[in-house]
Amino acid sequence: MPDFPRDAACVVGIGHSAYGKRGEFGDVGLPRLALDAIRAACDDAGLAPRDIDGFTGYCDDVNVPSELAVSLGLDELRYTALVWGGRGSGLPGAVASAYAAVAAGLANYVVVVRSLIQTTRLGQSLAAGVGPGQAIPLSASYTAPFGMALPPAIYAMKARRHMSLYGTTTEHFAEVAISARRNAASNPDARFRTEITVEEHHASRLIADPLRLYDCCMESDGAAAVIVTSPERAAGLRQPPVSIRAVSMTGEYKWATASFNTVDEVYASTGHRRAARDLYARAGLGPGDVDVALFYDAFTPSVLMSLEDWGFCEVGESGPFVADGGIRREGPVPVNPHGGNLAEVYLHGSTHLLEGVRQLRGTSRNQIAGAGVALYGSGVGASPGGGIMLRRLG
Amino acid sequence: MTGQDTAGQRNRPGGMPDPVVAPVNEGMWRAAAEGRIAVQRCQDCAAHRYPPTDGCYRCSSCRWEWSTLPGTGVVYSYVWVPDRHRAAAGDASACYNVAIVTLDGTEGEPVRILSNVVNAWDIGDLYVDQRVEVTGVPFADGLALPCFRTVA
Repeated sequence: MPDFPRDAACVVGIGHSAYGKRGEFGDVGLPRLALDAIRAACDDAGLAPRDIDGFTGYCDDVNVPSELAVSLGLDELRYTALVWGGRGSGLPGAVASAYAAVAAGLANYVVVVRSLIQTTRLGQSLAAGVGPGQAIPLSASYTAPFGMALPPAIYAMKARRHMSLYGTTTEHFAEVAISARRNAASNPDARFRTEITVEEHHASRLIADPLRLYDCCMESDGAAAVIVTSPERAAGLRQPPVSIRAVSMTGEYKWATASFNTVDEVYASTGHRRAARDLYARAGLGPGDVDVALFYDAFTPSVLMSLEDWGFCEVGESGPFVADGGIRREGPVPVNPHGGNLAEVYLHGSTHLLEGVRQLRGTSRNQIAGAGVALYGSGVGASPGGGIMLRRLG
Repeated sequence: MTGQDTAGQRNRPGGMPDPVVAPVNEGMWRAAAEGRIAVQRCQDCAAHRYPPTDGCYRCSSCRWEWSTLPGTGVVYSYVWVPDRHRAAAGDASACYNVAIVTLDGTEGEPVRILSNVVNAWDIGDLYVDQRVEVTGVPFADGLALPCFRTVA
């Protein structure tokens, strides 16, 4: 494989719509939410919306780029791509596509956008559970009839195996939720700003044992966008550019959505150890260089397994790692200073990318002093997910 | 419908859909109706596989046949889920389980199946490495879901 072209694209603008609860923006509609996020990102960058000439997305986003282009008054539309597979884990693939398009000269300013109205989401019936008489896809015939219809059950199954193998406890899961709420408490944009205790976590409603309500994100409506361009174009814009050091979207072996027939060694993981291997090799950086970690945290076990998969602790040791304060803002690996999917807003990790950029600009409400490198790692999903390494220039 | 049977002797989630019956899976539903576990076996390299796929993970051959396994296995992982359908019917504390079972007697990489252990009712009734055996739960004439019971 040829050497990866590092730092070949930058993030120059970030933006988001209002954040709401599931279905709150059903009357607003997905195009408007996406336009709000994109226009905010253009304002942030100092670009006119018509300067955009490309769009990438993931998770079967139903916005159509050519229609967004009309509403934004785009002069030309040169590049569009939607990640094929990957579902909520597809953000690194969408960034990789924007990165490649910019590096190859296929487009000048590419928007990576995720827009979500939970009540109109494709796949909604399976995501929310299926009822009697509802048709299911053939691929769900080996899970849904047995009651494996809810996303938290996928994480709960892995969490139970992790507990059995390594002695991980529900207190460890609780710590992830507690840290997320603590970070969100000082983020005015966050939906869940009330701090919680271990006792409150343990008393919350059982969802899929061993997971409870506070182990789960809450479905949200909203949109987030970033603008990717070349280092040369970035130089003249409003914000200090944040370099995309490297990206990876490598899948694990035999890893489909439920992944119950992958090999035993990686079952109790997010499925991103090969993505981590590729990302670190491409970046020429390792976990020791990372100042802020943005982990897809739709469910608390995802953060524990991400710490292992991305090399911040040994496999099986993430429980004690978080119990020692390892992911707190003041700890060795600050995770999701914005509150993450669990407490800021659940937009499939897209707002994690915004927080990574804020941290490297030095403008986060929960700023990690001197942050120079930020890592994004996606969650358990249909393969491939992957990772993104962001770096402050200068 | 594939819910709890009228005698109340099987712990099965209420309100779940029946599977889509297709050429790639019909043999396993028919085997389960006879109390057997059948999975695909590659006709070229003899590896067993599940869930059903068109191609073999080991040799990529698309030639396969149904193969009956011993029908026993061990619990790999499991979850317990509050059953909102039974709760709506007045049984507020009802939970069903979903278990992944590693099947005995397979060729190739371990073969795991996702199912229910229908004689386990409470959170303390299941553990990793517990031995189980197949039992069919009918959902249509001559077709059943391959479910499991704990082995004493």
